[in-house]
Amino acid sequence: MLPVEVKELVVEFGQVRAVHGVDLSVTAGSAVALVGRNGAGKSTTMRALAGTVPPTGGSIRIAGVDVAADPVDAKKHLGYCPDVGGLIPRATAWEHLQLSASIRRMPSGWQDRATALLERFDLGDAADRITAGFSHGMGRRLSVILAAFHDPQVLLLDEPFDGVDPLGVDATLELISEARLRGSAVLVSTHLLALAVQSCDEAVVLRGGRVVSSAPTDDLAGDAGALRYKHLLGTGHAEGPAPP
Amino acid sequence: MTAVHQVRVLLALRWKMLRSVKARLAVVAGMGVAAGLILGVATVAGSLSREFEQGATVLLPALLATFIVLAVVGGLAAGGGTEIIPAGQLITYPISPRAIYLGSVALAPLNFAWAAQIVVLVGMVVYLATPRSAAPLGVLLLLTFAGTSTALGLAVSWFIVGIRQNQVGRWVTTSLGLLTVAVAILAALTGVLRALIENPLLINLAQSLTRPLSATALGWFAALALLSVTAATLGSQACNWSLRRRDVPTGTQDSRRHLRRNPKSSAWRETVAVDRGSVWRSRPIRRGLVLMGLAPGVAAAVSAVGWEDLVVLPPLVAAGAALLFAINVLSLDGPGALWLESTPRSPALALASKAWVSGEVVLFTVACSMLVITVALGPPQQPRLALTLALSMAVGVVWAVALALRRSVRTPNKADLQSARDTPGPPAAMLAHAVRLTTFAIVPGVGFTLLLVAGPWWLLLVFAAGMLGLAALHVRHTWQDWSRPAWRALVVTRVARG
Repeated sequence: MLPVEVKELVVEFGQVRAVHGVDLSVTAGSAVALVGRNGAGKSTTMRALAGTVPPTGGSIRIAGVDVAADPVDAKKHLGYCPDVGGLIPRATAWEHLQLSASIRRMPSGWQDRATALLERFDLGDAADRITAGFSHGMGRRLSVILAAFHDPQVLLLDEPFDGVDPLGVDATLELISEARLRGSAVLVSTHLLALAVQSCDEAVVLRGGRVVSSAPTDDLAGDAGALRYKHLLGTGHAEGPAPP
Repeated sequence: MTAVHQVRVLLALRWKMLRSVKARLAVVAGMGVAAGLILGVATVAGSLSREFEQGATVLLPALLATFIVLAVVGGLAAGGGTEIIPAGQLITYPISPRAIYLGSVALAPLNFAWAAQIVVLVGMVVYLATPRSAAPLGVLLLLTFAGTSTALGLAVSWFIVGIRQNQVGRWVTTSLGLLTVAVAILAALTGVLRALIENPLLINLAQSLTRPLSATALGWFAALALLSVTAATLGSQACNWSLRRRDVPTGTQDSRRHLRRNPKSSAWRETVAVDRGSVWRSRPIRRGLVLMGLAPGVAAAVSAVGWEDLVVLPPLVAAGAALLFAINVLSLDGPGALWLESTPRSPALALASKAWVSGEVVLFTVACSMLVITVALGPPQQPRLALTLALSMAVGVVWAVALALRRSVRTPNKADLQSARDTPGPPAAMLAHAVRLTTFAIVPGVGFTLLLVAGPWWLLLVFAAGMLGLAALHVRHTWQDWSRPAWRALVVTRVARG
């Protein structure tokens, strides 16, 4: 059983088809990066995986559970950091963790893990402040904490590095590594290629809602990798033929 | 570009922001319903016999005084009045303080309390007009009075908002505000307030409204026009001063540390606690609730009315409280709605928690207003009257919450509800919500008032059961929409991002 198994995923918003027949799978202990330009369908794919947007067609299985058939059960196995904020404006950071622990019926002792995560992401002093007063980077860091807090089998991180300072980026990379060591499947959606290469071992390139390439992230590393990536995005900025 | 031109441009932009034809038609229909309601009230009032003339004559100056007070308090509660477009979205544009102030004046009629008072006052003026054929002139004078009071009230509120821009100012104004409320209640209890309201100037104005062909009425027209120009000038300056005086770092309120509470015993209780916090930590909601909880009660308490006349009040107060947040209650989660939707929480729990918190907050507000009246008038003595008031309260709260919940799921939008001037919806949508909620609030209010004076007591229970049944139907339809994953996704996306 694969932790993440997506077949022929289609997501439509009225007349607009945001995702066209995406196939995707993530094995336990591995990390896959979803990369592509703005509007490529990365966040929509992530939302469909997280169960916040219902697929128009195809199927999604999280830890063997069909998301469409049993969304509540599927959501027990995943942790999701949305691309926009993802935080309740007038709840404190601690209240977010308290709510998550309660909804997920986490055993007592979750407070120690919550405190440790907040400290690691340099949010210990802000734990009792409402998130409306957080900077963008602080909000991103707390969103990552909330996604990983309950050690989910599937970790979905949508733009986790966006606007985050270098220390926050390091903490996030460390957290992804730990999740993989624990056997979690990690899916990272980002437009920052270098960090995708650093955090994941496979990259899926999306363009116009379709998968245009799926390859080891090493193939996208360095200058040659960046050039190849630009060709895959179809930007037309890359000169010469696409590297092999 | 003059301030008036800027206001026109902003209003046009707001209109263009209504993308769908349906939304534009809804705005036009809403305005039509509001105008129709005023015309309907005027027509009915004009055809009534004059048996209540004496009581109405005594009541009119009190209502005028209440209007003036609420013009200031309402402006204060909204941090200077309603915004045509949120300030955050206009930060790169040179919108003048005068345009901001004039925009607040222009949008004042979209305020629920303002509109409700105008409906009542139009009815009173038409009813008391002598001769009846001169009533339109009386209404015109009333609208001039309303415009002047609003301009003046907003000028005063901008001045106070300016004083409150630092710690000392906030301390001073809060202390003075509490002192004023205490003195007003004491004055109401000792009868001094009644004497203050029945001052010659207000009585003279009331007489001019009801005898609009008199020379005094002409004098009032001129005086009010002059006063409104003065108020507009002062208001623009107060707004300018207030906006320039901001020495409080933005977000001071948001960086405060909150006491950590113990974990709740269930996901339901935890969700309710978070939703409750989202309501009470919001400045515009908190201020609005205080206003809705105290103002109608104080106004009723100082007016020459008895409990029999106040049966209609609980549903109206409930509608007013629901307008502050419950009509877009899912926006309390903001961007967090996306994260919450990814947690293994049942959709029913999410919606039920919002309904519960809406219910308790609306009930609390209605109870506060009833308590203020009880302090002033004493508890209702007749069992039938007490039963009617209790049923009016219960039905009013359930109705308001059921209708608001339906709106929350059908027409959700992003709303920060963080700064004092934030509202749960754009001005046009707020007008539509206000008209809809007021209209529906009047149904149980009038129904109970009629049943109080006629019919057997058990009919009250039958009527209440019928109204609650209709509210249950609303809730059922709301749940049907919310339980559809595609619709829920639409709602969540809208409140998270706009």
